[in-house]
Amino acid sequence: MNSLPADIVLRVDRLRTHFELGSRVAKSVDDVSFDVKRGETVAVVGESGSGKSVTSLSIMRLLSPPGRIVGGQILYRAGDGRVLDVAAVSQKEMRRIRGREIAMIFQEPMTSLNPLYTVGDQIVEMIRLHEPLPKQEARKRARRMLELVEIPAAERRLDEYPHQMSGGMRQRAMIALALSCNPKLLIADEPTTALDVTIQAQILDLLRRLQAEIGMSILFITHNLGVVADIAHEVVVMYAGRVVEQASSQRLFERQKHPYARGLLACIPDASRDRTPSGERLRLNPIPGNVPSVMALPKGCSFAPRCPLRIPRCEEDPPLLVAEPHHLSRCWRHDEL
Amino acid sequence: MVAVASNPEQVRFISLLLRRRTVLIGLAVLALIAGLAILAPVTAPYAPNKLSIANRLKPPSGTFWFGTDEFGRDIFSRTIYAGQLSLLVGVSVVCFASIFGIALGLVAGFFRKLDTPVARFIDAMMAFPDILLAIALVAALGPSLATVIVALGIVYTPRLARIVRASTLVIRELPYVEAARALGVSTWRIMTRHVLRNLVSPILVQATFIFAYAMLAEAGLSFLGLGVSPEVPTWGTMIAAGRQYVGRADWMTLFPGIAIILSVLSLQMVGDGLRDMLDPRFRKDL
Repeated sequence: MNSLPADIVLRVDRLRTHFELGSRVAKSVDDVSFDVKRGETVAVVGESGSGKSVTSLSIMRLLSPPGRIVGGQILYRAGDGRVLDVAAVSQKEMRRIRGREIAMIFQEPMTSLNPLYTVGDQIVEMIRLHEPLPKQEARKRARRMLELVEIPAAERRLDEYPHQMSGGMRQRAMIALALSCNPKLLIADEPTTALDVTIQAQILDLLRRLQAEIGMSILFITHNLGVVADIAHEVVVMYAGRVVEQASSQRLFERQKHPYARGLLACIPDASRDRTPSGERLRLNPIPGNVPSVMALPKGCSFAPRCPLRIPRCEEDPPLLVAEPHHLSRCWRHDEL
Repeated sequence: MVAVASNPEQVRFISLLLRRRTVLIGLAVLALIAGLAILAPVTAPYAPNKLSIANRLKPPSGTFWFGTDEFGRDIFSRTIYAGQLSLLVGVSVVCFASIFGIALGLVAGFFRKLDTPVARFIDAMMAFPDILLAIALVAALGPSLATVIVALGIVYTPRLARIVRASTLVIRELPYVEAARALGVSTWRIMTRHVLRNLVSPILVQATFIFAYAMLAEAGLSFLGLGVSPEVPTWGTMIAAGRQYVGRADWMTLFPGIAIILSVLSLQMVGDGLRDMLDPRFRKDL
């Protein structure tokens, strides 16, 4: 039977998700492993096409064909103590898990709520889908959920339609919806990307506070390393379908052991050091080039073509190496970084 | 229906719709025809099959508003009673076509593997001329009221199925459908609650058109002797009977003809108004 250490809620173990298009295979997620501990936040970071969203969709089993989990396990500790391999359970079991055990919020708060129903209706539907509660009870819980996500005048807001709310408000409503059945794991797929910066900070604050109150774990998918520092305990950096660096948030921000993570950080503008000592403006350092298509990965290290530290050995594919204790890097030159 | 009326956007939609003159006139004419037909025992001055040889082929007058036919039956009363049947056929065909059209369309739009076979089947049926297919089906099943309804239902099912399928393909990919799935909503519930609810308006538009076509087609089939038995008054059978007296008693064909025109036209006006309202390019002027 499957087993998990007691403090781990989700273990993604050598997950491989491929998209088979005719004879060509896109290895969107290739041998990805990480753990999510109880009450902690793991951030999966990467550019578009790095496989981070496919990873989250794999965990929810929401891949649309031709996407398919072809290998690995996704172990999840359910509320009743059983350890399930999410990659292998039946559709029926999966429906029970979705929403109740693992919930998900999305990037587009503007369109993630059905425009035809009031926010209250949608939360009540969700609650009653998973728990046999009378309508009135469910409505009370829905109101409490809106209060929990700090939506003012919750009672009135319950009867409003999504179009009557602002983007930040809708994302809060979406979070209320996702959390209304007390999931143990929340997958947040770029939840703040479509929001402006002040609202972004509010939503992150909210997630952090909810985590402390409810004790849920969060799997946070983002392309923005700046956001990660605010919320994550553990960071997984993905590139072209693979994990290239993995460490605690603190450690990773102190010292990157992979040139890609370092490049990502160098792209973030920093007001406190945007001028040289002589007063000239510093230029931002973008990473040249694009993420290679997972249909046509370069030979050897897939980051090599964009890497400033490239050496001949990079023709050979580096494994995920232990750079320091609890700090993994997929780079031959990690000890020079 | 309570939910429909409580949605402020839909209340606004209905009030905007009623501000269109064509829609208002169409609805009024339709209500008049439907009211007359449904209340036929009260509204018709004579029984539809009351013979009166003394009053054969009388032109319209104060006693016989629309005149009488070759057996002295009152055309006005018969037109009203015939309306019952036309409305019955129209409503039944719309229900039949809606049930099967929505089912086929949702299945085709939702389940990728079934899409190609179902969609090709629908296209093949669309390629057949409507009235020809109806005639063939009635000929195969034998003429009766039920046959006419089933045949026309089959003829108009693909129209609805196509629209439902196309819209389902779009809505299926919307983020809130994915979000619903991520929160554990079953496919059946997503189909009915999230997708179908969004399709109410286009289905309604199509249903009004099908209603009109079905009434017209029923009249055509009855005229050709392929509908209900000739002694039952329908607009089609009345025109067929009056055909021999064109020139001598034009009112026998004229008034059932006007009834067909008015009901089909008013339905088309309502349908056009609905469609325009749903098309943002036409909504700008409001």
